[in-house]
Amino acid sequence: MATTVVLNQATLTVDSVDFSDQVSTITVTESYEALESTAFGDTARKFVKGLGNHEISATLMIAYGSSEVEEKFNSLAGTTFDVVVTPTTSATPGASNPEYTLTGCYLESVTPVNGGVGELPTMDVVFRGGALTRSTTP
Amino acid sequence: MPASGIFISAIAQIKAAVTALGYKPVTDPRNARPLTVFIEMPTFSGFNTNIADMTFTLRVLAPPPGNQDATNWILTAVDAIHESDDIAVTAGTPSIALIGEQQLPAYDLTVRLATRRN
Repeated sequence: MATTVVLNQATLTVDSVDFSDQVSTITVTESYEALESTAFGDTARKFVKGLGNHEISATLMIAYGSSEVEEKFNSLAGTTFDVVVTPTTSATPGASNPEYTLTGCYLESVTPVNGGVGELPTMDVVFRGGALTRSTTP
Repeated sequence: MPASGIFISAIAQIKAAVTALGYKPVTDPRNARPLTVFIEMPTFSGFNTNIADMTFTLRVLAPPPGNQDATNWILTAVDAIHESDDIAVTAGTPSIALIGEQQLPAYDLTVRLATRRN
């Protein structure tokens, strides 16, 4: 049976502020450094899991004003905080709505002004580092 | 039928900006006539379910047959709209507008605008 997925209502919460209605793309990357464990006699290289090196990236529309995207992300640049992502709008995590939390991630840079005449101004942000957890528990 | 939504809001913003410049914006094709600025329905790219990146065509309409007086009026209006801080004009081209059975000298302006619901 066919399965249809529409990633149309993903949520993005940054430092406890919901920016879901300002975001167009979200990417959660779960990555671990590959430590070589090849030994004499092996016929192929082997690796084991090293430190996690996770990141969450997103594209947001830049809006200006109190508590808007520009103000919030300007205050977050150079700091660490938590980011939560879910693939659907449901506030309840579950098997069909896994919740990814990047705890203590770092925001290296922001682009508070970005765009040309008439263009929709956007900001690409990358939240790096921190511990990534996946929850399906309501 | 009462109109609502981000597209109507965007049109209202353009209408207000054109009005502030001293020109008459119209959105109903039945009211499109010389010495008005006809705002066509937008095309758009969806940023997400909350935000749309819209492109409008504004048709600056002048009286036929398109003599120097009409040209002067058109280019003066185009200049004013292009200079406006509230309207982002990205392109423009002279054209002919067919209103009813009448051909009107016109200038089509491409205007971009991003609007969000909340």
